[in-house]
Amino acid sequence: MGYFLTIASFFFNTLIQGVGVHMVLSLAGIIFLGMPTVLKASMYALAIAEKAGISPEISFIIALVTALVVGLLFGFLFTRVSPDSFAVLGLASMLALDALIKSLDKFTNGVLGISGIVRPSWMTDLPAVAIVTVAVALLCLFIELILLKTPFGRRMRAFKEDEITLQSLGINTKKFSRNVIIFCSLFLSVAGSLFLWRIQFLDANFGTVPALVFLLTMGILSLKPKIRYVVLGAGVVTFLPEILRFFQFPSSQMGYIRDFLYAIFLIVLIHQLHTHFITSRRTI
Amino acid sequence: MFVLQILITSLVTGTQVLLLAAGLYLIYTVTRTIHIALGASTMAGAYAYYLAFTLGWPWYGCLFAGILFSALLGAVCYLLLRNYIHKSQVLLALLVSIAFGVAIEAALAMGFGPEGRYLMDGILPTFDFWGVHITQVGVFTLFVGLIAGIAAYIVLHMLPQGRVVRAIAQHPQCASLLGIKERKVQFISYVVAGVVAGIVGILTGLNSAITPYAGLQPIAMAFMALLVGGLTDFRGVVVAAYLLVLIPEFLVSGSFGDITFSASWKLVFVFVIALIILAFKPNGVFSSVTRKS
Repeated sequence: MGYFLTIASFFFNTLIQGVGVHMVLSLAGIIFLGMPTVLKASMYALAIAEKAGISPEISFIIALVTALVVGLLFGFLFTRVSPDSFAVLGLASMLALDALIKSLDKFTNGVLGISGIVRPSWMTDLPAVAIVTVAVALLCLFIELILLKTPFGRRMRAFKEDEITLQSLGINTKKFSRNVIIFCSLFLSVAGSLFLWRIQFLDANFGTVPALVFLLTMGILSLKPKIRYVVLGAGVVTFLPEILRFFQFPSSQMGYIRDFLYAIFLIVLIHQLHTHFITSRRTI
Repeated sequence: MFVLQILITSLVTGTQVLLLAAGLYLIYTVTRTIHIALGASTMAGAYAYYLAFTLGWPWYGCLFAGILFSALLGAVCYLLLRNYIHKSQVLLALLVSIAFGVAIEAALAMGFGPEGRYLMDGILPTFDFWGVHITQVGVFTLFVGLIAGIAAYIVLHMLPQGRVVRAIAQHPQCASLLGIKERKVQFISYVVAGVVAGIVGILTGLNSAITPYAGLQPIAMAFMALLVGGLTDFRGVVVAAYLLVLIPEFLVSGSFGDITFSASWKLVFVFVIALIILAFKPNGVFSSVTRKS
């Protein structure tokens, strides 16, 4: 039962991240490689706030505000630099945040990470965590479904297709792309907080390149503007490493094998699905 | 003396960053792609050297093995990316490059473990002059940087092969019409960048311990030098590479009242400096404005 609940929580948590990734990468077509930075920054904000004696609920709000600020910063950068520079800066931000966290060991506990993160009083055991995660994931999916039906959702798809046309229709694409990045950051922050409350430990090595490959794999699996592809993406990245359990690999190698598999899987996926990235030309 | 020591240390590190940035610049100029996996190739080259070293090969054999393996990875990476390069899907090429880099690093970690490895036995030989210390590898790095710089200048500006590279950089379609084999030049660029990455990896490994994931930080610094310097002029990249190493080195080595910074702050400073510069000069400090038709 414990294994089932853990896997279910992980799947629905991944689904919340998947909603954010789907919006920014698959719908709006923004190659936002700073996603693990947002995730890590908000998780550390929650953990540090809790360690400072702030209640889990208020710490969660602090994590959301942190994600909002980091998202705003990335949104500003996106409107200033070229897409490839934005991608490189997103990647570099992961390394910079990692170095910053390991340098500020007085607050972050350095490479040891932060343990003993307290759950809110209304979700003290694993079944409660699983129920809350499922409820939040369904709510996030519902929000995305609503967003997709609104002009905001149509703008997201139009932004990926033809930014210039969108501008000519009077849409402020700079403000719009900033909003998409902020929405993605908030979804990631919610997922990060729930993840922390489940495992009650923050590993300092979390939120680096393997986390990025994990998120990108999910994003590429859910390229189509349909909710079911988000579920598919989250399902594949959750259950793919579970196959490794059937093989007798040494536990010290498991992490590397998982990273290797994800990376190869991402290369194959892009190779197979890359035509979906090309903007389709509509003929009227 | 203190300032001179920092300058010498920064010069050596800056040369390593510059060599990597040169490889990235060559690939970017010819293919318009951002080749992140080059960082993993540096470590792959260093590990190939390490493997040959543990098998008892002579130093030139180890060097050849390291460089050859990096070049081979460059070639494999081009074969993986060529479809995206030819369709101008540069961001997809970036994603594939990231994934390929992660695969190389994970494979290295599986094969050699995460602990640090040394490419030489014994104490690192150093030269001392006027109270300033520089390792033999450091001197060799500066020498390689100088030779590579002169060679690159001669090839790009005085030889027909250089004109081909510049032609593809300026107008790929026009170059193809003139009979230049664009794909062949792109393939060679990836291999040359791989060779440079292998040399940098071995030089880094001779100076300090290597780990499978150690290639990401230098490649990130090289990219930031490329962005800060501007992607249109390599002179800007040279200045940016040295400045991005020198400024954090001074900040980390100095003390500001009670405030001191550890060495791990360097990358944070590099990122903040790059961020501030790019916020005001999105195309880099030394870029020139060109009109688009």
